[in-house]
Amino acid sequence: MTDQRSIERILDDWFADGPSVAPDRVLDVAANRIGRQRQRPAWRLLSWRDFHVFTTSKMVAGLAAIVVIAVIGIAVVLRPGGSNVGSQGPSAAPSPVATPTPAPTPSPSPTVLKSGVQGPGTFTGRFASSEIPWTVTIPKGWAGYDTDIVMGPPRPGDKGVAILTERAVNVPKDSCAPDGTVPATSAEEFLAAVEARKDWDVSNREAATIGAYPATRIDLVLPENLPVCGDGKDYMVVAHNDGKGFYSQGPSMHVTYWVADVNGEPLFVERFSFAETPASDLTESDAVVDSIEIRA
Amino acid sequence: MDRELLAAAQHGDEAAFVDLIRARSNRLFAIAQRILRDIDRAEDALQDALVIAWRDLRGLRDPDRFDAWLTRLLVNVCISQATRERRRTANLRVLPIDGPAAPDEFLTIADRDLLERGFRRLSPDQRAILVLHHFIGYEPSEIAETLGIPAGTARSRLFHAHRAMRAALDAEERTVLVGGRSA
Repeated sequence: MTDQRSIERILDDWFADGPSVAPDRVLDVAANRIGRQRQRPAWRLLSWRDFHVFTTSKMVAGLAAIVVIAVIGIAVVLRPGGSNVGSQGPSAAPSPVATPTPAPTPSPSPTVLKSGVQGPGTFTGRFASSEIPWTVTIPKGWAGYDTDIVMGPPRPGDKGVAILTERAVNVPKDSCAPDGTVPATSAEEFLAAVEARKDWDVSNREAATIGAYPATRIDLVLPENLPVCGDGKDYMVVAHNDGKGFYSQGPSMHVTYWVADVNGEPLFVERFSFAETPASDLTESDAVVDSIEIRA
Repeated sequence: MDRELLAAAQHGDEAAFVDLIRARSNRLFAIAQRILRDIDRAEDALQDALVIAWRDLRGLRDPDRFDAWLTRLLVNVCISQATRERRRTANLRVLPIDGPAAPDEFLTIADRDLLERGFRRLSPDQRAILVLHHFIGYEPSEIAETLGIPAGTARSRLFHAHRAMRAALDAEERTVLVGGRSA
């Protein structure tokens, strides 16, 4: 009969004895596979709480921004005729048409878009895979992710929303085999590729704008039963030639593309969301998309 | 240094990630081999864990947690793989080894065979807990953190794993004796 003390000693010795050097091929194969695997943007995977750590410096910066806005506001109100509706002088520019969606509150000047920056605020980043600058205004509860993504408020499970940017991509013919996807050379080419995916529930096209550029909007819903790609591969929604890109965050994910030809090449803004994403978050995301400026 | 490599890897630097894991690959491989008891499967599990780690690296917010996070990923991959393997081989009968165990030597070949068979009878969870405790030297609280379970559950599972291992060894000893007599 084996007693407790002896079994512990036996196991200590037994486990201590055994192979302890990883064969080189393990790292070689892993490195090769890593080279074909884009890191997860992870707006769903990330611990949302981590995005909401409010550091003292951020609090000070936020208070300073509030003070600046308040001072400007008071100055405008106290200026003779400054805030009275209909009292603008003859040289005043025409007022823009009011937007039907609630506009996010902008900060006084854009700051750099990066992981962890918090709304409300206006941020300048870069389109994914490019140096093309974009400016976006996000409301309270939203956050930045890298220079190319903004994410909606934290929602556990498949209820999130995110706005992503891309260039030099296309819809792969097979989402599990995205290698060799030829980037679309025009918005039309991209839209045709979307519409060619008969396994997706694709909407009709709609005229839209993105930044100041005429664009086309198209919506789709991914299948409820996404295929298992295997070998750690993700189900790619859009991909570059090397197979990397943005991939589905879950079954039945809703994707909205805004595609515009800018300076002779298509630029993409995408919204990822789910059927259970709160309507208020989607409304905010509309305003976020409306706020986008592209300086190509 | 690791922090710099980690920060670079989190921004997509593949070479930095490979440097980061190179220093840890032996330890990780040893853990996988001890849970899975098979070198080929341990290689597969380690590769899978490293690819998953790369993919989800941006989700790691606390650099100081990298090693614990990586170990947790690997152990979970090993448990999944062992669970699949267990289902596949559930109907295979364990054959008795030839000859009785030598009673005087500690951890003879026969002892190791007994241990091997006993260990393979454990659930993947129990195997992982024993490896974390006896090979890595984790206390139940650290096992709990690694596996994402309450500390009390880790203590309880460790106790049951020891008991199961003792029972398995005793049962194997009986099997060997019967096998030896009938041979």
